[in-house]
Amino acid sequence: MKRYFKVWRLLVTDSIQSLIATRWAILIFVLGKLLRLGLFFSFAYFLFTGTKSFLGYDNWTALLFVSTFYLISSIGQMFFREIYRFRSKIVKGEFDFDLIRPIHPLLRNVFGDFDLQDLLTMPVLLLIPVIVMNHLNFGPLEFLLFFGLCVNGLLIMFSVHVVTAALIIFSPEVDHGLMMYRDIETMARFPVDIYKEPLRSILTFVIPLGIIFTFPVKALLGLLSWPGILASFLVGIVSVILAMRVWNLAIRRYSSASS
Amino acid sequence: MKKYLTVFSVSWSNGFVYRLNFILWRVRSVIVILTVYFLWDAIFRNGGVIFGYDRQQILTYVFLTLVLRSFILGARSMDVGGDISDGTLANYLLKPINYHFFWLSRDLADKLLNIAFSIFEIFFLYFILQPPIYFQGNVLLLLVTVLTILIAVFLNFFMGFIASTTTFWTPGNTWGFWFIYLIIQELLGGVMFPLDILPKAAYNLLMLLPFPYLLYFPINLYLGKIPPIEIFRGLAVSGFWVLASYYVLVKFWQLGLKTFQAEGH
Repeated sequence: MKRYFKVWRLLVTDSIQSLIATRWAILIFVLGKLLRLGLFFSFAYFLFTGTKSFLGYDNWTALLFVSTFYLISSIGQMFFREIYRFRSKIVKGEFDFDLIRPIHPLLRNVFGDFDLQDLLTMPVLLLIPVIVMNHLNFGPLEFLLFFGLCVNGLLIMFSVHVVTAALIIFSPEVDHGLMMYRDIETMARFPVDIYKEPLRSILTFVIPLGIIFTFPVKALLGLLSWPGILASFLVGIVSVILAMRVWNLAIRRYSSASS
Repeated sequence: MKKYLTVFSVSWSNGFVYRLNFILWRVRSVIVILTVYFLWDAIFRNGGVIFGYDRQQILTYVFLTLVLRSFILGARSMDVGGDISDGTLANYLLKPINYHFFWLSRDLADKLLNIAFSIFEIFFLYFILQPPIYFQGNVLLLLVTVLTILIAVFLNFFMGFIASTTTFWTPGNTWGFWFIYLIIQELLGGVMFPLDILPKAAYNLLMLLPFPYLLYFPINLYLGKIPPIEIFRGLAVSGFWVLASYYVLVKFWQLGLKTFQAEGH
């Protein structure tokens, strides 16, 4: 584990150093991301304030759903950035070099890049839910569950990224898979309760966006039952086990493309 | 003119070469709109009038966004930055074509392809969701709406091209300004939310900028929500921005060409 952390630290340092070489690009992207956050939250604030009650939630609670989505989504993007280059590595045959190293190939191909832009916007992303939470009442247990379910959500996101990478090994034609996930993910910017059945169930259990993004807030508000909380953690653990199995299966099927 | 028609034709055919990519791109567009649709559907679950819209008007707004977003905001010219940064632009400068018309032709082909698909998607979504749709019966208003859509197409083309042109000065950053422009399109253009949910002062200020005239203004014109005097004002402001953005684009292009070094060629 210690060795893996050391390698990860080296990979992250490398990627940050190479990003710093293009300071202007980083500045523009960070400004863009902050602009998006500022505009989106302004609109969401006026929307929820104007509608008085959104699905029975007051405007601060509704904003907590939105801010939690952006927080979890950005942390995921910050850590799992490298996966977006995976298809190119498969097509060029560069993935072979990762397989011969004495370290699990997922370390480099999922965590190998670190999004500095998301790191720079992170203080704002953390500050917004803190401000929103100040307007809500909850106990330490609810906050602990919120935190635990956010981590659980990140585990499920990790699983989704691993499965998508495995699908790329099975068929390098799957180019849009991750971007499709990212777009579907935006459906959870608002609580999944806005969707009608069967879409709501699909977004909760099949592509478990509800568990990733909506359930942490519901747990904080005391709206999630204990069976629901336990089931969420179970989904998190099972998703990682399944994702690793799919990955191992993909590795067994892998045949080098062009190296 | 014939050569640009050929570019249009080739771009149209190209769209069918990468069919899976194109279909997935369309699916992604539908997902964005679905989120907005269900958001407003949830807000209007108990009926009533919110922000001056009733359920029929707001769901029509969302459906029109799906069609017009493809037509007005769909653009191939975001690849111009790549041409500038890798020096490919030099190849085009040597050819007897106008580079801007070349990309306009490509953009129009892309828009036509997108709109063809979005009409199919509209029928599909209408069948699945069965929303109440508002049909505008005033022919004059429909004609003015078409005019504002054309204005929006050119406004978007010029502003997008300006974003790409900045690559002359930041060659390592071909996508950055487009990223910002896309955010502005989505949020200040009225894709995610109608702009009149904002406080009056912010709304009035925003209506002096070019962005509301990309989507919000044409759609609200169709919905009959804009008073006659505001229509004239809107046409004047958007007309001004078309001319201003064209002027800025020409100036940027001339200045940019002076710094262009055709690296790699």
